[in-house]
Order: sequence, then C-alpha cells, then structure tokens
Amino acid sequence: MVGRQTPHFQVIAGDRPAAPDSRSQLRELYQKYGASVFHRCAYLLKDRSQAEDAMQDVFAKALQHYAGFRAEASPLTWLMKIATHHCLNLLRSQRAGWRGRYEREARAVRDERPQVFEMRDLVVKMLALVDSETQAAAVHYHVDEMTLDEVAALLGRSVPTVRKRLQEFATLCGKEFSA
Amino acid sequence: MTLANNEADASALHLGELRLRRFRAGEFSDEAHEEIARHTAECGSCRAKLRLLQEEQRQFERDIPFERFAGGVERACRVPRPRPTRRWAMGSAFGLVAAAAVVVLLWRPSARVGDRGGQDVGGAAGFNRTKGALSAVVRIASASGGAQRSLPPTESTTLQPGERIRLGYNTAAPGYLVAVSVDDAGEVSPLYPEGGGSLPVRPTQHVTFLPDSLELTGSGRERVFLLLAERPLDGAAVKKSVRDAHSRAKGDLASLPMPTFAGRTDVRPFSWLFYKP
Repeated sequence: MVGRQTPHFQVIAGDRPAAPDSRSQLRELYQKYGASVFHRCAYLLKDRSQAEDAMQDVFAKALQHYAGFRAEASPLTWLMKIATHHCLNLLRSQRAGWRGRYEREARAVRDERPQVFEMRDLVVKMLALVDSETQAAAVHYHVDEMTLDEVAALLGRSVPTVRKRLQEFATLCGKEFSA
Repeated sequence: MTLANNEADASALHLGELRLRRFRAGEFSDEAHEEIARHTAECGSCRAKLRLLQEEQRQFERDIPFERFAGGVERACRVPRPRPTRRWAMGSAFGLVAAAAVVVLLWRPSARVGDRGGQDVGGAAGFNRTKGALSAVVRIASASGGAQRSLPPTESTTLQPGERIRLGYNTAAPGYLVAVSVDDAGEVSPLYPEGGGSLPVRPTQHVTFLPDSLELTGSGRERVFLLLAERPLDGAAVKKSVRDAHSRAKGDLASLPMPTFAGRTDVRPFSWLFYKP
C-alpha cells in the first residue's frame, strides 16, 4: 500500500522552498482574499480551527508560487480552487470520520423532504455521496455560482462531462438540473 | 431555490458569488468593474450580497488579526502541516505487494515563455532554457526527523519503517509536472497533480520539492520515474505508457523501462527504485 502525506519533514538547507518575500505580499493577500478563502475552508471543514490551518496552507502555496499566482487572470479563482481541493483532500484523509458524519446528514436531508434547504447547505451535506471531481464541480457551481463553462475550464474538463456530473449530483439531491 | 433556477439567477439575473468576490478584490478591468458597479447600484439583491461580503472581510479581520494570519502562513511555508495519511485503494486482487511511483515533469519550449497554458505554480519570466540543467532528486527522511539522505536518479534504496520521501526537481525553463503511481499489478494512480492534466512549474535555481511527502506503506518495491518534456502530456497517456512499460517488464519493477510516448522526442525520464520495509 502507498500512503501520502503533507511533509512531516522539512528539507534541509539548500533544497528549501522559497520563503515569503515580504509582509506586504501577505498583507495584500490578507486584505483581498483572506475572508473568501477562510470561509471556503470553514464551509467545507465545518471547523473554524481546522479552517484557519487550511487557509494558512492555501496562502502558503500562493506565497511559494507568488509570481505564477499573481499572473493568474483571477488570483481569487485560483485560490478558491486550491482551497476547495485542499479541504476536500483533508476530508478524504479523515476517511470514515467525515464520510460517516456527512452521510448521516445526507440521510437526514432525504428523510426530511420536502424541507427546503439553502442550496449551499444542501451541497455540503451531500458531498459524501459523490466522487472528488463531482464534489469540486458542485461547490464551484452551486456555492461560487460559476457558470457551467467556467467550472469546466477551472477543472480542466469538458462542459458535457461537468454537466453530467452535476446532473447526477442533482438527482442525488432530489433536484432538477438544467443549465 | 432549485438547481434549475440557480443557473438563471447566477448568469442572467444576478451576479454570481465568485464574481462579486472578485469585484471586491478589484480583479476586473476598469470597464468590467464599472459594469458590475452599475449593476450592484441598481440591483438590491446583488448590492446586499456585496455588502455581506464586505462585512465578511471585516469580521475576518476582527477574528484573525493580520499578525496571527501572517505568522501562521509563514509557519506553513517553513514546515507544511502534517495531516492524516491518505491511503489509495489500488484495486488489486493480489493486494498491494509493491507499487511504483512515477513522476512526470513535462517541458515546454522557450517560445512559450509567459504563455500560461494551465494553472501555473510559478512565474514564467526570463529563463535560460538549458536542458542540461534539468535534474531531479528524492529526499528521504525518517519519521523522527533525524538525518536525511538524497537518492539520485537510477539508484535504489531500502526504506526504513516510517521513512518518507519528497520528490524534487530543478529546471531551467518552465515545464509541466505529472506524478502517478503504479503497483506490481500495473494499477496506476496519479500523484502530481492528483487529477486532471499536467502541473506547470517555473524555472528554478535550486531544487524545488513538491508539496507532499510520500510514505510507502506495506512491503515490496516502489519505483519513481521523472520525465521532462517540451509539451504537456495527457494524464491518460501517461498512465497508459506506464502500464505498457509495466507490461513489457512483465511486472518486474526492477527492470521497468522508462515510459515512452509515440511521436514525442521531448520527454526526458528519471527513475528511482525503493524497497519498502
């Protein structure tokens, strides 16, 4: 079997990733994007402490690749993609813990029909039932309110593929999907 | 709210949340910014959402002061936070006796400097493209954080219990990076990136290590390949090539040939072999 972890060891001098250049970069990130990234992390992880850690990881990635990050057409879109991916990975790494918790919520959603849920609440409750790519597509589409084309471009998938995944997700949610 | 009217709301009647966040962050051109400003002035719903986002940032700054934020990010830069091990289901009927990890670093030509064909993880400006400058290395560290050692390409080593590896590369030009793993049964799983296409990387003056470390649990062997190419490779093509290489070697990881790509002469491979504890 193969396991994968964020590093438990810091590579010794000479091979160390670049350190952040200055506090001014951090301050800009903080003021422009701090809340957006933090709330994405808190939305998915449902834990403010974990969300703060995850947010720091996301901004660390942005700092380590600052030039490329700044060159993005939309740095915020890049950050939200990274944050979503990072948090979904964290949830998957918790395995039974998060799946059990989220699946209970998904069952509750089904049992309580036709109760009306806010879409973003419904999405996060149903995440345990779908694969990782559908999770990301659902979050970007329903929470970020990106268009189908934008989600497809962000995830590097075709529009029909993303549409199909969202249709499947909608079926699980007991909703109608048309885009 | 239904899924059906969500799209209509987002794209036709109102601005999507991400668009409003980008507006607040000042990401749009002057013209687009003006257009959104006009819309929010006229649309009560979008104006209210924008106010909520502005308040959200104010609340964030109250809850997490800048110094705490900056200190946490800087710590994360220095020592990335450990997280629970994620194990992959390889789906082999024979179990996971051994696995091979493959890192594919794809190269793009100097003519494309500044052209971002995908999610770039680094800057792309001003590099001297010299293929001879390409190198790769695996760094190995114990669970206790003791001494580290490097493993040059083509070498093999036996890992001690708890030891983890990090994959590093050094490039003189922008390129793309893909990592996959394959077990003795020929099952291939992506590592870098974990899904989709290749991962662009920027030129480096020193070895740059990929963000995650790998712990090779179980027993058996594991091989690492690293390929450089001028153009991106499709993830599915990489997986197929690795499977083909595995088949040609009849599942023997010690004699696994480098993956090849039809019609491609720009792909340059590196390889390591690990014996797991």
